[in-house]
Amino acid sequence: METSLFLPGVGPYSMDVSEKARFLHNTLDELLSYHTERCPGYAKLTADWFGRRAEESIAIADYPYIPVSLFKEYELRSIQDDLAVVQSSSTTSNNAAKIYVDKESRKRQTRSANLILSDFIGGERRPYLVFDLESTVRGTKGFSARGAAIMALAHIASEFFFVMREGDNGLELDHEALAKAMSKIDGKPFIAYGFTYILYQAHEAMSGEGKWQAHPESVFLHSGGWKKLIEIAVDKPTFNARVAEPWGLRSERVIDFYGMVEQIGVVYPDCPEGVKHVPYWAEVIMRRADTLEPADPGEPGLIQLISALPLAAPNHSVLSEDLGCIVHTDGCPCGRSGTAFTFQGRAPRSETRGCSDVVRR
Amino acid sequence: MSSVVRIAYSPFSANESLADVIEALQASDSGTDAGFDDRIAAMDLLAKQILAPSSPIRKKIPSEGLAYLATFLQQGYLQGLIARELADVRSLTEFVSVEARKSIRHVPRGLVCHWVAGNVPLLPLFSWAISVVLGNRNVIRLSSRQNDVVSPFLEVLQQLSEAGKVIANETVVVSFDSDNVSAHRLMSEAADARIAWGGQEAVSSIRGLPTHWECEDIVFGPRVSMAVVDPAVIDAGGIRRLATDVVVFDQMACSSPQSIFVKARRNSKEFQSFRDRFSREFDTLSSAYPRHALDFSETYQIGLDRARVLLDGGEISRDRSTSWTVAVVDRPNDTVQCANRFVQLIPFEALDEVFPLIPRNIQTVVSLLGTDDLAEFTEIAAKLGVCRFPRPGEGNNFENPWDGTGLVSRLTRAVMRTDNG
Amino acid sequence: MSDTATQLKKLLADLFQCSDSDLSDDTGPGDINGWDSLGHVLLMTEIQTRFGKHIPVEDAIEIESIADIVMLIDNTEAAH
Repeated sequence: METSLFLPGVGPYSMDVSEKARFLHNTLDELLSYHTERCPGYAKLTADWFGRRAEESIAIADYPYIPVSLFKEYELRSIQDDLAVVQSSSTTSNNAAKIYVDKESRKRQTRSANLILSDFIGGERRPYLVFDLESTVRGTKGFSARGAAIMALAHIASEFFFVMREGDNGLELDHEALAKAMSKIDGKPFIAYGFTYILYQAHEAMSGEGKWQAHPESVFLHSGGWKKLIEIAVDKPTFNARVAEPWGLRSERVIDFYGMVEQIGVVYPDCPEGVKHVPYWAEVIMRRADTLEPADPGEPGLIQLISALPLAAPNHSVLSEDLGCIVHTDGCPCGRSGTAFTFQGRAPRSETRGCSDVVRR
Repeated sequence: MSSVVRIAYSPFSANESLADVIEALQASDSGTDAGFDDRIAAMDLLAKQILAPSSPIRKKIPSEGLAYLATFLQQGYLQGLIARELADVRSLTEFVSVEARKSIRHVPRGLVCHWVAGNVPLLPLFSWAISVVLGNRNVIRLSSRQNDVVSPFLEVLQQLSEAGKVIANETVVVSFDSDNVSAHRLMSEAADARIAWGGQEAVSSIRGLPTHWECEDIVFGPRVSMAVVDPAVIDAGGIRRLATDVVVFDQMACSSPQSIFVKARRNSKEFQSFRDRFSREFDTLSSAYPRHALDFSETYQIGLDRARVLLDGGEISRDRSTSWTVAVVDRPNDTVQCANRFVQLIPFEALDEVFPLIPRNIQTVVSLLGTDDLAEFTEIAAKLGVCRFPRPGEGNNFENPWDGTGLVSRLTRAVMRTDNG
Repeated sequence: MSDTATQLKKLLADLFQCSDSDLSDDTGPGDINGWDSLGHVLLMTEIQTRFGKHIPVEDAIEIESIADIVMLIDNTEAAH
């Protein structure tokens, strides 16, 4: 791979539109050849894609993308050995997505996550409160999606504190571990992370216990999705207030980041304006229903995610089943350049149409 | 969940509850009880109304299904569908001799309740038409989320003829939420026959409702369909008609073919030529019959299914967008949904290859084979569960029997009489 | 063996509960029990504490062996 990915001294959100388009364009062209040459499955898909269009220089909007679900059903990889696997945990089915990562991709992912998160919460190391089990991030063969998310923040950690334990009904708050952690943290600003639903449950367990007093620059990050919370009618403002409350923090210190296991390393925290920004080594395009044409700003669409990071598997341009909306393409009041979008949840499943049914023998 | 039951159409007073309306229907004396012939004639008039360019029905109901419905309601067709089940169609009107001293009479079953799930709105009209022509009273339940395409026909019938009025007065259309259990129960407990159209969950839950022990059930549940053709026998017109069977209704009908078995080797000229000609017809028809706009989930599914076929070693012919797909595969792929104009072509050499691939819930196999092949195929496939073998072009014509069930026998009671010597 | 290398191996032995005679200059992440991703991060923070040296994350992720770490410690400025 020719293009070096992370440019020294260039912040993740500081490239202007045309500069970024050029940068990404070249990188994506390289990735297209790279993955086509190495992954026979990807080669089949791109052959079909380009069978339809003239093959001149490919605009980003015309660049091939593949449905994320393929990573649950097929082994797609561009490197054969020395691979770890990141697997999604699936709440709805037994199929987990399997994304292959090699050493080089892992380095890029770590770098990417670090640059992004530092831009939001600063680069200084801080105590790291993890609302999960230590076992979630142990092991060398690969991680679950939760493990990958926890480790995305690891390089900002000066110390780790794992404050959940296995209970009879799944994970529960380990009150003792939390008390020990707070004693050691001793009023310094800290970062905390938990899978969205787990963080919520832990904070429900804390309610009525009296307050801790967190340093006002502490921050609670979470990812993993709102599905379970929507089912119990907890919306974002309710969630943020619930999590911030025991700590005496403003609810703006609770930050949601969107990320997919199929695009590890690129995370999308909410900025103070409530939108998500895209770093220069990635892009996000919303695609309309029926035609898959790019949607206009303000129009919801299926989220296509592009990331220049992946080398071990062709998950660099994927179409998700999530819906989102581009808010603007440059100049957010928060000071960040580039595409800014909001995430709107999973696309609703279709109504059953007709009496037809999928054949299951 | 709302417990509101909306009475969309009723010959009774405006403010009655569901229970009142059902009771009134069961008790009603239609006055001039129209006979079978008059009812058939009324349906024929209705068919003409549907086809009339200025008809209020055409204005209210935009659907290519109307053409099928109009054909179905025409006198010759509808009468033929019913007559084919009876030794003598006059038994619908009087006792008719069947043996030396035995006569048979077919009387209406009574109150027929119809549940229509799914999104093919004209569906209930087919079973309703047969039911009502046989003299039954009817309650048709729509979900509160469905558009009411039934009432407009009843309003037209009221004005068409005396018999039309009688028929319209014997039908009530109601709508309520799917989880309004008490309303479902009311209908079910009153029914002498229940007709359920829909997917697995819908028909199972309707079947599970309490009924009185004599109640007849007719279930048109989740089924799939396919086609089997011999390129040596099918001509250009046949290919066009086959493509039409797939395209019309956007493949949502249970009779829409999801896969087409082609008697030829995959790499042969015959197969390639069939594939090319079929794809061209598919493309032309896709413009002639614009497809409903896909929602996000359906759109995603098309992309996913195309990719699955390619990664499994198949080939794709498709349009530049998401309008249609012809996938060539060696074996049908069960995870691929074959919906919204996505059809699998499977080459085969011997019929024995096809039989194991006929799924349990098969309905229609559109067939165009040589005479000997047709005889062999249909004999074995019928025992494997196939309900009908239409030729290309008739694939989606609703007929009787349907799904293996003769509707006349279910919607009438057969009464025997020993005659005087 | 340099002083840095000796101290480092002692640190590793303490952190990962192994014997420092099991550690060679070529030993790297994944080679011993506990030196997984989490272990690696914990190691970097221990190095900061014990040696007063901050190893930036771009360098941390490139580490393949103890020898690499020694080089980084000896060539890096002390952390502020």
